[in-house]
Amino acid sequence: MRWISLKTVALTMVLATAGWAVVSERGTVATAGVQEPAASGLQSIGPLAFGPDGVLFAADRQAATIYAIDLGKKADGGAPGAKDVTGIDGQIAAMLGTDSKNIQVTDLAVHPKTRNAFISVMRGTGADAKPALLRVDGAGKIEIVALDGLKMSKATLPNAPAAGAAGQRNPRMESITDMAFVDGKLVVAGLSNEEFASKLRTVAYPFKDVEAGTSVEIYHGNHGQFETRSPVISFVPYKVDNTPHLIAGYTCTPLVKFPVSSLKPGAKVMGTTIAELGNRNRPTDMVVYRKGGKDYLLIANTSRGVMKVPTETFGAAPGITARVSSETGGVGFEPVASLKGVEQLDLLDDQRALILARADGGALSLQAVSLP
Amino acid sequence: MSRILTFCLLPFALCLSLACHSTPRTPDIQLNTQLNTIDVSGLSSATLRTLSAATLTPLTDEEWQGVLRVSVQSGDAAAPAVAGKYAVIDGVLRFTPLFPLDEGRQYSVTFNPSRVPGESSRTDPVTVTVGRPASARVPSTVVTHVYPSTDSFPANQLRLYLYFSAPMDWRSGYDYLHLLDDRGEEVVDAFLPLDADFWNHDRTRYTVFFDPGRVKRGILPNKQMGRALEAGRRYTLVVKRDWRDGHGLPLKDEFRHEFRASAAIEWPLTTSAWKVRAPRAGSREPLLISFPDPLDYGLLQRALSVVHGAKPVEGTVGVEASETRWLFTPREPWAPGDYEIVALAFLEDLAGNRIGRAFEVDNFERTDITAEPERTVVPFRVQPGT
Repeated sequence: MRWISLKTVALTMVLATAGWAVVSERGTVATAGVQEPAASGLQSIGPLAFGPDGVLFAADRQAATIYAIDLGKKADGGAPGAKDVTGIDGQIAAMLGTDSKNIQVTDLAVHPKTRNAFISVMRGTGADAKPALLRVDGAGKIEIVALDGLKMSKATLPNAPAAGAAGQRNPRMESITDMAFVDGKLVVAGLSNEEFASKLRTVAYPFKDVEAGTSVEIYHGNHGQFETRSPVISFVPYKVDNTPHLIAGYTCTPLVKFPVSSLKPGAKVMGTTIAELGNRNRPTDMVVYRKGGKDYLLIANTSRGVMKVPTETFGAAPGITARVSSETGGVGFEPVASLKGVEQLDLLDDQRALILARADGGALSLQAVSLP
Repeated sequence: MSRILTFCLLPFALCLSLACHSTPRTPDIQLNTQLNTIDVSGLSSATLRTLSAATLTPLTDEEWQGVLRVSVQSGDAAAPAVAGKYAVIDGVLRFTPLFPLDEGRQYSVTFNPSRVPGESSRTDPVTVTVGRPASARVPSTVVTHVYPSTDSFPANQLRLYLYFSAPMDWRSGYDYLHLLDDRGEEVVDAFLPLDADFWNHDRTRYTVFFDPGRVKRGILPNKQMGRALEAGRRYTLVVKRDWRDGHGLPLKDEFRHEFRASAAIEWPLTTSAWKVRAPRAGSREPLLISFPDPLDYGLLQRALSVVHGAKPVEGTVGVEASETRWLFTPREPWAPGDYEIVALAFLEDLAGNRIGRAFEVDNFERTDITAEPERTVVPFRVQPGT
């Protein structure tokens, strides 16, 4: 079985976790394409994740479509690794012919072989906003990866049904919040601009079709309520007791484990809340790493900084099944005070993480930092 | 005759050639506003030949940028050059930026003849500033509708839809939304601080979620701060003018919507409370469903449908009376017989209550893990005409 370490991305929402009921929902099946070089067709670019053999999955949020991009020679050619770049948002903006206020960095992913950093960016903020992909190599050289002409295939997530609205375009949109490649399949989390719901879908790669997906219900110990509709914000695959799991984060900020095998349309599973990491917060990114013979989860948050969570008790940790009296509970964590303003996070190598961190002055910098 | 012409023209040509070499023309750098390119003209044929050949034997980006460098005028000399493509077309060296140059932004362009491959002259670089004029557009985008359209929201209102007259900026609207109470004071943390893409496909509708953690009773944010809305009080939703539209312009005006908070609705939807007015056979008059309380405007557009003989009936949907009435007008006249109104499971009222399932669901001790009903059917009959 192939188990690929990957990264996550994020977005938002409140509520969440302890028992999960995964409930099947019918849906139409996606479109999928064959690999052929062409104009990229990407309307937007958001979450990134690397898959087998360095294929780059890039989510087009606006089109609810995932592109599998064969980077070809764009994957390497530069110095291996990724060197620190101070004020990288300003430099990227200059290359794109604008200023840093007019771009949004949407994700960061490290190539599994070259260890070059790939950064997704939206150039512009209005109707003419366009996607861009950039590579930063070990010499700190920033290059734009031209998407046109690269071999790529795509899978489009099915939108929810629109009944009785023939001829009208469905105003509902589903946005992709995170994705990860797990055991031959891409797992995709999304949320909608209408119903307050969470969707997890699996997509086999090479793309053929998209499973109709599962909607996820969770119990949040801190909130003390069974909550039905909280979307997954960020997740990472991890083997708990040698069984593939997803470790998922929500706002406010429960941490939940559930087996990958539960992601079957129609299945009902009970997930487990293993930690409550604090209220009025949401995770933006998480990675798993190993240090000193032990595994840790590193989580970047919007308002509670970066947290280091030892995973050794993930298997044995009792699920939080009652209201917690304080803002935190379950598996303990250690705040990493030295890391501030972290907006994106990925593993650079066994010893270091690569972060995009925003200084108080507003500039975004690419930095390699030692894993805590 | 031809020999005479050649004889006469030869000295002229030689003279012109010598003159060209002795006093090279200054390259002319222009922004081609039609193509949104930067064109360098007035180059010698030798230079053009060299650069044309370079398009066959590609120069690196750095080499091209050494010849012709376009950069955002920012005062930072170390700023990277703007990325784009170079080509010799119709006697000019043309730079096409990867993305169209911004309106109202100034760009510095330097042509350095000495960096042309094989060029031995020491001609000084030429630098000019170019830019597209700032847009002459004036702010014109406005908020056209708010849903719910009623001026009474339940205290546990879950979401709002804002409609705009033109496409907006794709970024979140969270920073531009404010809720004021009846004393004019801001209700803090009323909305979910999302940076998610909650726009519709053309960014003319934005979904605003009240913070569900405050909406839902017993949840910590609710315990700490209570609901954002208190029954019996009046509120004003304010959409700030500086929210940018798709052209980067602010709204024409600040938008305000006043409403009153009413008692929370904490029970599930029941289709038995719906009143159905069946149409007459042979007519195209609308099927009408009346609800006791308003339902979610967005979900009403797609959560209800009409089925006849296991086939969907084609038609158009209308929503009226502050989202308490749903009308369905068929494309073809109604045939007599038995029909079904199909309500999909995600239909919600203003407070997120669904059919058979309130947003305020049971607490953990009574966790319900059963699957939601996927669809609920309400039968009706179209009577044969008399």
